Amino acid sequence: MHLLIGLHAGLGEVGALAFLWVLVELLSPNEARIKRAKIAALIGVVFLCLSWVSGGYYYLVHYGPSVKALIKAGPTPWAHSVVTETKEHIFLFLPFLAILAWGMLKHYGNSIIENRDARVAVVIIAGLVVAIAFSMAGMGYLISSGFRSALELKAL
Amino acid sequence: MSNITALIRSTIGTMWFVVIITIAGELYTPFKDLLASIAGHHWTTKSIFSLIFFSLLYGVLHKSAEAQKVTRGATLVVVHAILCGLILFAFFLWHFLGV
Repeated sequence: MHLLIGLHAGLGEVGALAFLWVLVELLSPNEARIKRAKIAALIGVVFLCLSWVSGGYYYLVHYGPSVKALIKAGPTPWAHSVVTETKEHIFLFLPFLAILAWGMLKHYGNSIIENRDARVAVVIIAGLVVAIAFSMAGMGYLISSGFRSALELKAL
Repeated sequence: MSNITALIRSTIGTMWFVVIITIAGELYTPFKDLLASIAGHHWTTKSIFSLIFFSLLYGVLHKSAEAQKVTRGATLVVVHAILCGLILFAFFLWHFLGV
């Protein structure tokens, strides 16, 4: 267990939930809901960026020097070579998608109540952020399982 | 006030930028080494470059005419995100299998 992994995952999940909150607020929008959606989107952008920094720090300082070699030598080397490699790069899409969703909300504001096109567009992007962020958690589970199986092999 | 068409195009462009420099780095080691030499690690450099690329692209495109149907732009973002993600996954799987 490592505190930084918990911090990275926790920040990412709060970011994902913030965009789920945006999505829910926009299902039946009024001025108060749009105001809350803007706050939620800003929270999402901030938390996903913090998750980016904390995850990057863990990856560079702890994962790369020690965990990576263990997983690659273990029974599921694909957990690093395929899953980690894919995850670390797809993650880079998230801050920009989050900024896009937040920018749309700021741009359209209360006109979203009447403008169905804009509302659906923000819901689509917020949904995409939620889906990618939760897929990160799924990939994180596979990587952790790869690390655990490598450790088990070493211990037994 | 943001220009949404420019934001959409910058987001799509940045996702492709990440895909291209990642695959280029894996296929051509001197390029990956160059990326690593800039910020200490290739991933850190990609992170910084993607931020710069997004900002520059938005700066260039921020006077674009706004599209009439923004749902079309949002759908395009989803399609490109799925495509970019699948290409990265398929590339690393291919790289791992050594096909």
